[in-house]
Amino acid sequence: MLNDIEKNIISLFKNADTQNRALSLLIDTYQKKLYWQIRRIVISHDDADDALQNTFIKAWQNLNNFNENSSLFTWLYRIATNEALQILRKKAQEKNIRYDDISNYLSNTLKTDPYFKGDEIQKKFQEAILKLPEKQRIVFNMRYYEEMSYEEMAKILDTSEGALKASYHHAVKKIEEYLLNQIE
Amino acid sequence: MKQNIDIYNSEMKNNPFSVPEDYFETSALKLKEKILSNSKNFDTPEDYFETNKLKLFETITSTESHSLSIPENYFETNKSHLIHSITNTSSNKNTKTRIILFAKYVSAAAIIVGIIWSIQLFKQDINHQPILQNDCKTIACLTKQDILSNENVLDEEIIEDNISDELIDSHFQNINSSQSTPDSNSSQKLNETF
Repeated sequence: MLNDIEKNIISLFKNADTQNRALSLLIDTYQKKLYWQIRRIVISHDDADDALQNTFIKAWQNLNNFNENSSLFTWLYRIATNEALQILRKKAQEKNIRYDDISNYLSNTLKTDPYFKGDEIQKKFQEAILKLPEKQRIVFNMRYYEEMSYEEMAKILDTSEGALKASYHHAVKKIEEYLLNQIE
Repeated sequence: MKQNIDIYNSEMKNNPFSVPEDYFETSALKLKEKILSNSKNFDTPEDYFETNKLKLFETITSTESHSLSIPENYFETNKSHLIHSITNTSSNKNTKTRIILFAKYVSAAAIIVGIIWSIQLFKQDINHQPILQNDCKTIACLTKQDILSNENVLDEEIIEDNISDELIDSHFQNINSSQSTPDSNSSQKLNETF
C-alpha cells in the first residue's frame, strides 16, 4: 500500500508536466535511506555512489511498470539491494577473487576507507559483520541499523519472517563470538 | 583478558561511516541531472533518419557495383576452361567405365571356366572302372582263404560290390537244375571268384 508521499510521487510522475517534480521528490525522500543500505553492503563510498545512481536510474526508467499495490519504498529498497550486490559481484570479477571471499576484500577496503570514522572497536564490529554470509549480513544491517520490521524485510527480501528471525539470531551470535575472540 | 561487548550499546549502534561534505545535497542535483540527461541519451541528430536513408542507399548501391566485380574477360575465358574441364572429366569417366566392364567380363569367364572344370573333376571321380576278374588292383583276385583270413578288415559292402551277380545267378540256377547231382564245376567257379 502506498503512503501519502508515495501517492504524490506516482501522481506527479503520471503527468508529463510534473515529472521533474516527481523525480525531485523521489530522490529527496529516499536518497539517504537507500545510500546507507547500499553503503553497508559495499563499504566503499564510491561504490555506494555508483550503486545509488544505478538504483535511481533503474527505478525512474521502470516507474511506469511499478505495481501500486506494493510500497514504493519496498520496491526501491529491493532495487538498491540488488544493485549493491551486483557491484560486489563485479568487484569480485575485476579483482579475480571468488565471490565467497569478498569479505576479505571488503575488510581491506574498510581499513583504507577515508570515510570511516569509527574507533578500533567499531572497526572490529564492522569486520565481524563483513564475515557474515551475504543474506545474514543484509538482514543484520536492516534490523540493527534501520530497525526495520521483519514484515517489511520479508517483503523486500522475498523471504519468510521466520527465516529472517533465524538469520538475524545466527548473525548476532556469530558477531558476538567474533568480537569475544578478537577484543581483549 | 577478554571483554564482553554489548552490541546493543548505543555507541556501537552509531553509524561509523561518513560521507564527503555536502554529498547528499550535491548528489541529489547530480542524480537529477544524470537521470534527466539519461532519458535524452538516445536522441538522434536533427534530420538523422532522412539523411541516413540517402547514405544507406549510396553505401548499398556502391557495394553492389564494386564488391562483386569479376576479372576482365572472365566469362569468355571461363567458357573454354569449363568445356575443357567437362570433356576431361567425361573422358576419364569413359576409361574408368571400360575398365570396370572388362573386369566384369573376365571374372564372369573365370567363374564359368571354374564351374566346367569342377563338373569335369566330379565326373572323373564317379566314373568307376569295372572290376575285372583277376584284377589284382582290387579285391577281385583275392582267394576265399584271403577273404576269410582278412574278414575283419573287409567292409561288407565292398565284398558285396565285388561279387559278380551273373555268377551267383548261374550258381543258383545250377543248384536248382541239379538238385540231385550238384554241379561241382559251378561251385568251384564260385569259390574261385571269391
